[in-house]
Amino acid sequence: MLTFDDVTVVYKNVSGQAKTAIDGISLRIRPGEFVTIMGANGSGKTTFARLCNGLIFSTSGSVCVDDVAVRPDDPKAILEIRRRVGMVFQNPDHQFVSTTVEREIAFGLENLGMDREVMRTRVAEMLERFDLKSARMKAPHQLSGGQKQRLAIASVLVMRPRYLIFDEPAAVLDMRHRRALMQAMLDLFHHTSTNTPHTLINITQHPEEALFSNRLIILHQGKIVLDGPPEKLLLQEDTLVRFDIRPPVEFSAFIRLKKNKFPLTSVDELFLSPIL
Amino acid sequence: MRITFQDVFYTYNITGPALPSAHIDGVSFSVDSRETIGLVGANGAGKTTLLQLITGLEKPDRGQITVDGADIHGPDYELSALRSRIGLVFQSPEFQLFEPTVSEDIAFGPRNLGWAEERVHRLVSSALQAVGLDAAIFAGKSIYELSEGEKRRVAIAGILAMEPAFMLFDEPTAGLDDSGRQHITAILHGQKAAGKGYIVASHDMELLLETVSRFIVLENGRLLADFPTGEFAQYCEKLPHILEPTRCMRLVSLLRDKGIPIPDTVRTRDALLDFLDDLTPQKK
Repeated sequence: MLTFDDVTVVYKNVSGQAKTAIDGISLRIRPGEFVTIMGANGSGKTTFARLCNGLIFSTSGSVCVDDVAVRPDDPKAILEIRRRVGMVFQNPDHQFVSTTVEREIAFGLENLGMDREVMRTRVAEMLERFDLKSARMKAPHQLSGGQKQRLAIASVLVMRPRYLIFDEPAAVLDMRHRRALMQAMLDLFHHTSTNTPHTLINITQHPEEALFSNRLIILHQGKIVLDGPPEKLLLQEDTLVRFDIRPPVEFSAFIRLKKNKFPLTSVDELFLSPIL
Repeated sequence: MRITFQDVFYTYNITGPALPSAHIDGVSFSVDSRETIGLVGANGAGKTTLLQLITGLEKPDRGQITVDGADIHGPDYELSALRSRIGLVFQSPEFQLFEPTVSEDIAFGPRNLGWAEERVHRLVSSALQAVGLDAAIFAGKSIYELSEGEKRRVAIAGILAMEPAFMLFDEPTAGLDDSGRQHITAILHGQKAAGKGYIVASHDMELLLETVSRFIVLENGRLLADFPTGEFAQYCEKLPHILEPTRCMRLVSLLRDKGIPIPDTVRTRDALLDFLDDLTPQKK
């Protein structure tokens, strides 16, 4: 369980002004949930993500990952939290540190001092699963955009984190790669070979991605303003627009068709597959 | 101004195995600076490279790039003068803001061109207006007080202030929220209304369908198609691996199948929703 209890984060910017990025958030994210987080630029999405794995710390209130509190004064706990909470960033280039794809995937495990045989097996498993076998000796910067994104996910997943946070990884991807990324998330979500289910948090500007998840949280000025099933929240167009979010076009159309008494029972009737 | 590519080739000059993509492989086309063009293709198709070639930031290995007939890499050509006529807005240009205030940052380009302070001042105001930022509020603001969307608009204003005749935008809406996206659309409409053209490289087909009149499609560094926006739907059928109908277009055809007579002129989300708003209520 990921627990936020009355969490506030206040930054001081360069000119010394205080800015509240997260404003008294309390929430629980249970194991096995797939949560989408949306909000305008500056609503606190990235700060929220960074709080979850100890990249930054709350000014007041507490963040806990299972039974471990995220606190700046406990380096051992922070290491443990980073092992449990993996993060895939918007620009994969920013997270690569190694000279080859294979070493990049192994990097985190090496840091844990893992047994070499186990490490080899886990790296091979990731190369296979993310279709990177033929690229394994290439330098990360030589990969295509889609391969880089897969490598970024593989190097996080190889650590077997219980929680996975995607911070707008699809922002610069083309449609085909966005679809592949959502498929990768769904695969993780349904991945049942381990006893502990993955908990996924996808931060995005694309409202239709919320339809893949089972919970949508909307942030506005550092506060949670909506929290519920995506297919219900996305029908609240007037409310969403206030928070700078447009529902997927199918939802907006459904609202208008219903208003004009067009015989429809569910928004599903306006969707063709695939959703994306 | 007319920009022409004649059989242009470009490869990254690196040692070791060649990059899998982002090279340019024999591209020819010609654009007028009043045209509005969408440049599309998968990640790594060569869109960014093509934009950099147009401004002379990269030099072709073979072939020629001319502006009004003059080779931009010819011995007498003043490439620096070209860069003030063609404004390139990089992907995530907000990372390049570096002056302490908004107005200083926008003034940097025109000052660098040696323009008089009075003119620079005027250009800063009109550029802020063009990107929809109120000069009275924003001119003196620190860069650090801006939201992501505002930073991007300031970066675009910095290019507009140099009064380029033609603009190039690389993924201008990537990572922006809805209002940020609408501001970018408005900036493009403003350019178009002022008779200035642009090339927008983007995966955001909704944006392109609203703002461009011609599409250029790249695949693996080659020019695969070049067509007017009116033929977008046909090209989605011809090139399904690269172009696909937007969610809005798919919805339009589904609604037509359900018997709602949506006219051909309805191509964008706003147009569709306006149409549905006014749809006569059906009798039960």
